[in-house]
Amino acid sequence: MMTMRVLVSLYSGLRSDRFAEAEVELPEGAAVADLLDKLQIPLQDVGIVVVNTRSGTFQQKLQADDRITLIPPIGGG
Amino acid sequence: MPFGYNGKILHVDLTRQEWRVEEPGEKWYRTYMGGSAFASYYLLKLLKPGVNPLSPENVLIFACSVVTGAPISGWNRYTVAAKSPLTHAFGESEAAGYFGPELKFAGFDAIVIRGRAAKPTYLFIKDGEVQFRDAEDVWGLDNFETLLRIQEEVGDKRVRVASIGPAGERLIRFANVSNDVEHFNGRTGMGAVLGSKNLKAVAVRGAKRMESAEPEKVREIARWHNARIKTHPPNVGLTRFGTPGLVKGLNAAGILPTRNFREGVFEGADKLNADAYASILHSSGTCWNCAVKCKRRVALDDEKYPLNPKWGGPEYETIAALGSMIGNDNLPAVARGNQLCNLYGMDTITMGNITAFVMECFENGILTEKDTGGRKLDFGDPDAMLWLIEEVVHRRGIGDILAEGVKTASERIGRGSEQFAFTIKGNDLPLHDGRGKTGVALGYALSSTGADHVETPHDVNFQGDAVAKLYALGLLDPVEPLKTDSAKVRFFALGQKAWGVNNLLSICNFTSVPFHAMTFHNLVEAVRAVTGWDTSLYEIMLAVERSMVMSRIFNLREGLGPEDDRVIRRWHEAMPGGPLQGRKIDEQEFRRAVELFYELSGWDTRGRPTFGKLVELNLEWLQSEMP
Repeated sequence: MMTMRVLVSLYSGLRSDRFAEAEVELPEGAAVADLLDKLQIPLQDVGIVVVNTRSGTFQQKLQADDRITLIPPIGGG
Repeated sequence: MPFGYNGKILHVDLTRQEWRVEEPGEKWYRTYMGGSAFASYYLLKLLKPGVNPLSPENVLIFACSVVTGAPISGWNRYTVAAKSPLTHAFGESEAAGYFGPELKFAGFDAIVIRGRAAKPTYLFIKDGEVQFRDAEDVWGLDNFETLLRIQEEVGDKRVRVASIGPAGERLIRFANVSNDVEHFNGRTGMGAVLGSKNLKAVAVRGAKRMESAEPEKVREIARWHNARIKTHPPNVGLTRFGTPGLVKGLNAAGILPTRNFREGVFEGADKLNADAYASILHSSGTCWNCAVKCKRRVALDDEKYPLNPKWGGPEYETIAALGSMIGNDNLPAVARGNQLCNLYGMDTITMGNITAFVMECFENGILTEKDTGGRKLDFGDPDAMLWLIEEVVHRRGIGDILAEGVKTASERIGRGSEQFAFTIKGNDLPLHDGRGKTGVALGYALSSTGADHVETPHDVNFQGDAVAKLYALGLLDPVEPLKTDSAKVRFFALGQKAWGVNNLLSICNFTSVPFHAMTFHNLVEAVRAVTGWDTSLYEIMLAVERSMVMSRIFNLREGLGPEDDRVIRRWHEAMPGGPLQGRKIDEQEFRRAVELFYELSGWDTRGRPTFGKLVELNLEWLQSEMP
């Protein structure tokens, strides 16, 4: 299976037991949801997804060298 | 004929039982645009400084915006405003639900209410006509019974009712206005103003729908928006988990307000979060024409904490207020406390703050069982919270003092209790800890309504590449949540006005810019398509600033000054544990940030807008109002 590497930045509580910034290897054609699975981050714990400085979605397919930012829901209520 | 709005403001004189319609013209609507600005305009024009907020002289305003009722998700809010009996300053609170659009459909963009009815009254507004109706038989009823009774009396189950419960009638200074018992203008005590006017409710019903200048364009944007709501992560979370989804993230970040803002991590948070909520969840609810569906209804067949799906489910603010703030991890009790407050008509944020204040006083021996007729009030005791709600709404014993709000209650209790009474401009705090979000701290310090969580950009959402959501404002540098430097002031000043776009246009933040499903570009396109105005983000943000400056001048006129633009003592003290252990807001640095905001905003060193600023905002008429 072909793989690709993406650069992932995590913020706030998502960093606990993980990392602030790291390269992550994924199967080619993986989506943001696959990245969350790999990092064992429940969808519920993610409020904001940014891919290459654009708003992303959970279904969005990723490409090699993409920059992904994940922020938990910690905004206003 | 105007598009998007009626061009009609309803003026009601309760003393004389008279009403008339004002038609201010397109230029006025385009200058002020909506809710908070409409309210500030009439408060500045009609109210003299120093008026007792609970006297007939106070002016009460219900206001939508020029676009409320356009068929786009979240374009459904309205504001209730008056001089606040809680803060004695600018009072305002927004709510969603169904009331705002229905008011527009009934033929009016806003209602300006003066005087005091000789006996309990409610207004019934239908298709451009107004009736003053006897409310003696509903006076004393809770909000749910009031809703049912008014629906029955007017013979229409689809009438939308904004009402007060017993708390408003008893002039409890944090009484709210309920809209169908699921949506609340919660903050700053607007319910007490209705009570002081003998006004039990405003019921609205209209057959018309708002016409847009380009209806097909509006539908096209609405379809795009609703499709994006289904995939845009912040909205996916709100639809699936509602605002309870915030509990887990805030606790993990170390900023879940706990035990009167003493701590930022609550050991019982897992029992209050979205997973736990499943045990009391009945169904999802929504507001007029909204695809997000973030509202929650709860049910529980339990002798001690019975829950009725028609009495509202707690949202994040309430879960934290009646939960972590008082060290309580019992979610059914939180939900029960929420339903009691909803029925009685009291703001849950203030009720939580008051309970936390009392519990910390108890912990420190400032209040004892002698003050409470033998009742212990310890952190973590859910039944103490429920007991206090009853004492307050019935104004019994210590409840009578607490009914005046945290600040006044602490002044009356004395004995050093003031050190545990946390308010800003007299308003207690929504459940966000500024030590982890300094932009929110600036917002709390500088909002005209005192601590206010919907008037402020939550900086944690714009870290790293997520600042891209603010590129359209010219903000290109990632936001650092813990800093209070010049970059933060720049972010805050622009972010506050971007957030203000939603408030001014009575749009729900959870559907809109800058980080929910609506984009700046499409929001402006939609306003253009609804109103037919060749408008821009610049013109709308200028109107937002106009609104903020007007409420600022209202407060200056009431005697507020730069000393009121501050945060609570506790945020200048180190966080005792958790991920942000040791973190505090430096008092001098924060003061410099506030003063830099004045300078950036065109205000003088006393926080007074300069004449140049008034000229820029077309507000020269307010120069004579400046103290």
